[in-house]
Amino acid sequence: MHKNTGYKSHYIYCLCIFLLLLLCGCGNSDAPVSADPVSQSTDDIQPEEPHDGDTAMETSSVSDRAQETVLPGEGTTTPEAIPLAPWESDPDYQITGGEVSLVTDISSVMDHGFNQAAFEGIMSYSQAAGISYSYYTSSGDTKACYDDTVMHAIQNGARLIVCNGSHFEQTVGQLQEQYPDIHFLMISGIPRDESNDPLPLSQNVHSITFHQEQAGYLAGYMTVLDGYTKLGFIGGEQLPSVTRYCYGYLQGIDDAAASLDITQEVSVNCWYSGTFNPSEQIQAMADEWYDSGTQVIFSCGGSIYESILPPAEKYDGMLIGVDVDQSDLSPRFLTSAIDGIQRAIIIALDNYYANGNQWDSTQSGQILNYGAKQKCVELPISNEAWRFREASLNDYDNLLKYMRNDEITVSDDISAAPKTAITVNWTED
Amino acid sequence: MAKHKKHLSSLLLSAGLCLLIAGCGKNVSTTSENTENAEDAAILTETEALPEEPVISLSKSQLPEYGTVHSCTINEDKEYVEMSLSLPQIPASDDNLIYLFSFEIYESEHDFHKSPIVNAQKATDCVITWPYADGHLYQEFVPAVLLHGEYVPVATGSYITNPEMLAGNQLPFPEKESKKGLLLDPAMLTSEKLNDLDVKYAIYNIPLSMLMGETTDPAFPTVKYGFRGRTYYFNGATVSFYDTLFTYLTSMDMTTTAIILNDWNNDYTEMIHPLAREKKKGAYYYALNTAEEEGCRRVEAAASFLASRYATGEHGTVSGWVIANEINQHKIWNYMDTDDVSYYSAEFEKSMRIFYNAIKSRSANARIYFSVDHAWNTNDGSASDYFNARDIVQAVNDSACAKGNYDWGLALHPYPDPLTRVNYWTGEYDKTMDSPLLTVMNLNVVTDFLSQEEYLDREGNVRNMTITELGFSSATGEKLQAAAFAYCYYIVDANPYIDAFMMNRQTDAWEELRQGLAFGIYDADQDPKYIYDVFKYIDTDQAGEYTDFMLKILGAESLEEALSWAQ
Repeated sequence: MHKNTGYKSHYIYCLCIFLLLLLCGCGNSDAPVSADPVSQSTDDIQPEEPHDGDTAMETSSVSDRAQETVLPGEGTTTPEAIPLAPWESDPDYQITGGEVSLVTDISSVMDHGFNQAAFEGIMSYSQAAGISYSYYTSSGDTKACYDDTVMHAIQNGARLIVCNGSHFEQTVGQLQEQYPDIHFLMISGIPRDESNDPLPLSQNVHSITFHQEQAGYLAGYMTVLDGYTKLGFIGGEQLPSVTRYCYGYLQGIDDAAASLDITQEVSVNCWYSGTFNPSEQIQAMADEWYDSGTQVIFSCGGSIYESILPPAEKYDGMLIGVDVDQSDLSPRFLTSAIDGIQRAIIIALDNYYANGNQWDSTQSGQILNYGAKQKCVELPISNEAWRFREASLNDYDNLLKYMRNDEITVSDDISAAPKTAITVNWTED
Repeated sequence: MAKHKKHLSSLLLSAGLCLLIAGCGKNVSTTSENTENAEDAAILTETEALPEEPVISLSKSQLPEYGTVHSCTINEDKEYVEMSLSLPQIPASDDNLIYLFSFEIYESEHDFHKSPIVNAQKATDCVITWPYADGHLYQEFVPAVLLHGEYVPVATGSYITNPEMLAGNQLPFPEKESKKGLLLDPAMLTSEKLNDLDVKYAIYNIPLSMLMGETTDPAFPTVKYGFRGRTYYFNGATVSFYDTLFTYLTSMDMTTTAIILNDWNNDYTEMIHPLAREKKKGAYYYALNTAEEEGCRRVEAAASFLASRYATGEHGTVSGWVIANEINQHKIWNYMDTDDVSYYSAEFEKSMRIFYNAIKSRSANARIYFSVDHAWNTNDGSASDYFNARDIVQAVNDSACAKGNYDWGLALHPYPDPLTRVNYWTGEYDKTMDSPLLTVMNLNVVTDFLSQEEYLDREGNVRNMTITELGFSSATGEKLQAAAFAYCYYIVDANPYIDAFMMNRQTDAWEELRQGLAFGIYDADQDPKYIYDVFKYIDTDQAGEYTDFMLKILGAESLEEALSWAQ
């Protein structure tokens, strides 16, 4: 078999290009925001101009700028030529006008997390199926900006819009009936009204949520099985998805400790930082934890790992990544808890196109919750990413099978922290 | 489409020869065995007193290309070999005899400083006959004359080209009612996960490293095999495994194909061609040794052993054989350190002929193929990484025809490019024989190519072609994978030149998963994917129920419309 498995692999991936996605434009800053996805950044975003209050049909020029592609040698904010991102050489990718379009919050589409997972899912399917695709990044953290972003996609010809995260809940709630021919795929979100109350899903809407608690469980269990006993968890905003990761993590640690009969030896520090962005506070906390003996910290949200990594390097500590395989960021990533956004999007698009470009009966107006049974949650197992030394691939396989067979059940109840035999030390903000 | 047969030229040739031999006034030779004792040798053909013919004086450099060997075949009683040789005029030489020499396959430089095996009277049309002997299947026979005290060849030699005459198994090739085939997962053998799929053609690899050498497990004693005066030893556990596998597949009425792979084996490096005998990172399999005595004999022994063991049904029957893998990828799948496509192809062709003659001498109607991938004409003249499949087919055919044409077939791996692109139907494909890529959408590229007269088989037919590896990844959608398979199956089913479509593969393989390719019907946990039912029912009356979705993904109104895209 000829070994060309990539798509013009000579193109170099570079994150720099996303630094050019500028933040400005609209801003109805008093619109409610309910950011659920773990990796989204919502802090410190100050719209430069107020939203004019017109209808959502109006297209934001900011969204246009967000889509501007800087070609090699054309960079305006960096003195060096910027290589093309991998998809920019893909004939199916369109700067605007893709049939399948991802809309994201203000974070980069290659954020090493939530947005990247969604975009890679769309890119994978589209490349395999020959479907045009685009992405649109919101210019601000307001409902008006999210409305603009979705409308920009619609006006540019999108037929299926993947709305990544709960930021788009009210937007889809508003548009789902206005645009019955446009299909919406909501990732970790459901349509809501202006009061943020849930709305029934229209037939053109399909929503997917995830069993993050199962991914957290796998990461926690395998970490203890690998011999670690002093653990930590630093979450971003205390959103349901972040909390599910955390509580699953604690359950996994507790079960592994029990199976090894070391519950008295195992402890976990837990803290929600309140942000998905790096901060000095996070770095200080991580520094303190590693210095006092914490061996591994689950970095659960956006780019907060950037604040945890330096202390980890200083104290020879390890991290657990989230949403996507983050092993390529640093050898200090022991593993990553992956909830399966990429796979879920592929499943959704696959069914949509097999049903003649519309949701099938299992999707139309339905909310599906994906987890181990759908083979969505996982830890990365590639040779490069597998960094457990004591815990084996066989241990992992068995754990996953038990989860799929319901021989292991992980509670998704986030009304209260799970009861554990291990010691859990909560730090309040 | 009816399969196109072109055998006019061979008919004319045969008719012409018959006329000449039967009495057109030409000189017909007689044969004596073993020239050193010519007077005692049996006269193997009738002798006629014929008038002398004009003699032509030719130099040593002119003689080797002067005559033509038309055939070299075992006769019907299986006791004699007969070579038909024609010479435009009788070349002048030291005597009135044509001498026949035999050379082993590895003897690329013919040294005539040895005894000929037989002689015959010089004539413009010679039929040289001699007793068939052990080893003749792997020898080239070269006619020569004695000129100034030295033997000089008068024509390019030939191998025996009808080994099937010797075969104990004369059953026809087991054609199936459909073309549905699969690369099997041994872990699922005998399970419902195989049996439910109703596979018609099964394919399986035989890495030679596993076969060679004695076993250390007393439960599976070493299998001893006598071949050309020596005893060779094969691993009992491996042989037992393949016995079980092929017996089971035969019992399940699957037509079975085995792929012969020469992987690295520290204990048997002599089986690797001297130009490939360096372990290379990225090289999975290595060119077979056809250049040295010890290694070549061992290759012959392995070929003979496998051919005999899986010919009769006692240990299961293998009806199709693929020699090596994707040989145009000579840096990966059939490694040899050369960029010379002619040399490389000639060496490969020798190894294929070894297996061909071994197999056909046991199973008259088995099919022997070599495989190429989709890089039909893409290397832009640079063979440093791989050869064009087209160039390889041409060069292999040239080599085979030069030493006696035989009925090799071509195994195709017409993957889309890149492999991750599942919707191969949306691309633009060159339908000419100059096409860069060979995919399932332009199979006519290769069927047209092999329909050219110089590529036809011994009977003037287009050679057998089969798809022995082609899969579509589910990593980017299980329904997309299933649609891609279904469409491909229908394309192959409608193509009269293609014997079967053996899909890669039954179960996802880790080495492919790491490349993002999930080709299996089952995933790595052995759970069925969406393609399961599509594969299972595609060749049944229920196919429509399971493939309707395909047209939605293809964007076609009907199957007929979709099939027209691939014509």
